[in-house]
Amino acid sequence: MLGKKSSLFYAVGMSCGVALAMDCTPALAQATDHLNELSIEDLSKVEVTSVSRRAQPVGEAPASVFVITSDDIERSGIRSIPGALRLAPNLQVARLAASDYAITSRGFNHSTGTANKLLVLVDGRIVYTPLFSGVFWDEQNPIMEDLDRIEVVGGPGGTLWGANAVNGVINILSRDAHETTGLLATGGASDTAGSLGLRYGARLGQSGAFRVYAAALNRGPDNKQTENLQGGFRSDWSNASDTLTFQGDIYRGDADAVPGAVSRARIDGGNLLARWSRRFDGNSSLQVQAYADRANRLVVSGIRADVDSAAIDAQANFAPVLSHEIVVGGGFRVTSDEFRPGPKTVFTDPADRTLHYSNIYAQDTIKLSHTLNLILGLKLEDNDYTGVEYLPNARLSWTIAPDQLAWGAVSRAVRTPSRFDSDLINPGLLAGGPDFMSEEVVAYEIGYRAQPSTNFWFSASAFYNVYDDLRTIEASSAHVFPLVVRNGMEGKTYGLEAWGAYALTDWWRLNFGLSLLQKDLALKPGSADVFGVDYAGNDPDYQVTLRSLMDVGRRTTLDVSMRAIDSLPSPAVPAYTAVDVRLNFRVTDNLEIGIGGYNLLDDSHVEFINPSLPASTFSRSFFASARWRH
Amino acid sequence: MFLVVLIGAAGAVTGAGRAQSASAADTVKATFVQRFASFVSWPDGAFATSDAPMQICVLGSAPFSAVVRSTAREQSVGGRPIVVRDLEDPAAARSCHVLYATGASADEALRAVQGFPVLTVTDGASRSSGRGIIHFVVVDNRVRFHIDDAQAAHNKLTISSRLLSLALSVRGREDE
Repeated sequence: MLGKKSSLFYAVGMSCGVALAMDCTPALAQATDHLNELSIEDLSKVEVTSVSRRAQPVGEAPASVFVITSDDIERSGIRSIPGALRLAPNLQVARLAASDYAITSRGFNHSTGTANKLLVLVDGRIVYTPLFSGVFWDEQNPIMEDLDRIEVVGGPGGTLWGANAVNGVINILSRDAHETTGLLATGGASDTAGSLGLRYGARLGQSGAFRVYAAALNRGPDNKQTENLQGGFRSDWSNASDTLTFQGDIYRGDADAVPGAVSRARIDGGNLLARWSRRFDGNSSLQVQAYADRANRLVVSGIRADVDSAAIDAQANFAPVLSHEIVVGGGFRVTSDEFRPGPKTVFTDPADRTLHYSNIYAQDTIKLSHTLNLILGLKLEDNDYTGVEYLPNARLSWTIAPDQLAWGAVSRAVRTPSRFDSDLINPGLLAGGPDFMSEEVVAYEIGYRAQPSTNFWFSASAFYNVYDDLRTIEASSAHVFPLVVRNGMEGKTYGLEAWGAYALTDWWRLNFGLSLLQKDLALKPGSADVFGVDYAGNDPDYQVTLRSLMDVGRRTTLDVSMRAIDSLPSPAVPAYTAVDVRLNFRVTDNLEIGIGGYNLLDDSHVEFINPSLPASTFSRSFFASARWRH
Repeated sequence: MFLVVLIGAAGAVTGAGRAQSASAADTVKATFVQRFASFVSWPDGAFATSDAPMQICVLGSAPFSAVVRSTAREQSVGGRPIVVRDLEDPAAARSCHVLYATGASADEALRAVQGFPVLTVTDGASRSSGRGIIHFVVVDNRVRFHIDDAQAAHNKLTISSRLLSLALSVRGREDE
């Protein structure tokens, strides 16, 4: 039973490599002590080296990192990426409408659902839009069973990940095709949503494997019922030293007509990605990745915005001497958009724009002593709006004991201008942001992580963020209009993120999460802002999550999860508590069924309000699902 | 342009990166090697007595045997203590219960134990061509393995379904 409890720690712990490029050598020494306590199944899941970053247990990462594992996702029965992101205590996830979500870390969830300070990647592909630096979550509808994990980093990740990694990084990773051979069929239905997924995978010769999939997701419950279809493939080849991956997806999505709208909302797009990595003897590796992505969108106001992007990245990891481990890399990305205004709405000037981003970075992990590691890194990133941006970070980690780690970090990150910051025009009303600069944060963080006993572990981190040049919309003259976008706000935020797990028995464990946030924002002298500091973000002061996970016998799991979210100030949204229950039953080795309910406590609640749209309410609903594997 | 520079630089430094201690992959493989025995049953007579030690032999890699020895310390399999041996002579492999074979004489050792109750383990990361009953590969940064259950049957070993279900592929027994 010891092994099972311990695997709690490792299930989260060992899979975090991609999030952070930090030293792992002392981590390995400790990991070795625990490997014998893992079940053989868990042993086959232990990450031994990460292609793009050095592998390391979360217990060793000097940052606020939470990993949503495939086991978490499968147990929860969640059918969408935003739903899965609710499992991360260091994210704030609020549902606006059927397929629209406002998701952020450490605040600044924007009232239009366009939180813009997160960097989100799907298998290494950047998915935030250059239009406004936010993410269209309705473009991401994979089969959830094919996800390997989702890594969520709270706080800046600019040094390794680049611009936009201001408040956090979300890294969504799908499984290697070798791990998804066979047939999988999933389906679910509730009073407000339905989903279907079909995947087939097989091996290709000695060293290859592939899968193809198709998924459909229909979501309500309000006047914006949406339907998403997505299909794709992934193929992997690997031998002792090389791994080669090709993958791609295509999707489309439609929403029901909205009364008074100029058009029906519709999205379509796709992507193709190739990645090659080679491991060398010792701890060296090299990876090169390239992708192309298209995202077309027609919104109800008749605006059409099509974005093509392409990128190539390379990274090398090596250890020239024992006390240094180095990551160097660089990349080049192009986005090309076409913005077509609706009949009487805003336009962009220029109408179409191609933007170029290039970066180089280096990070060194210096072993100061057996227990102290210092990480120093810098990225230089060039963009067409503001030129070269400097994204440095310094991190210190102290392994107090094999099961205790303290860390501290200072880092700078920026959000570079997007098209809507700089080029959006509404004649007479809005004149773009010709002088708009990057928004900046300098973040100070400390954290502590420990496993005081075999059945209890936790992680806590505190942050103090100093922001400058935050976006404001300002009067351009005594006549107020036209408004212009400037950088007239500054301020500080501080808060706490904590989570952990406690195994009551070998079949029953509890997970908890807590996030606290305070914002202290002010307009800078001379600012002629017209919306006020509340416009920067509509965030809860606290968020508490509790999950009870029971293995009732060998075939049944019973999970109860609760989240309590504080009220939002402006627009005002009352505090709410939601309780979800799910019962999974494995009928045969191939067939699993699940039943449960969402929002069991309340008749209905609102999670977020976009002032220009009617608020969606979410009410109690019940569901049934089935999953068949062969 | 800098892409080219980066790739060149990475090539130049790989030589310097070699002098490393046990990699994470080796540590996990070593743990697997001593754990596999719990999921395999040996025929009567494979052990001299009911409490005779489980002999795990490593051929061709002294560093790896050191890792196995350290992970197997104080471990036992079905009440049997584990003994880890460095094997010098491939011909002596028949006295092992588990044989991890790598290096130049791996193929010779694999041939030597054919039909004898020895669980052979090989590694896709090594350059030798032969494959044991269990063959390690690293897939998606995790240590996984293929199982040749037909060869296991030939060696009169029975591998539990729990272990078989973890394999990336299983070459099945012909008589079933």
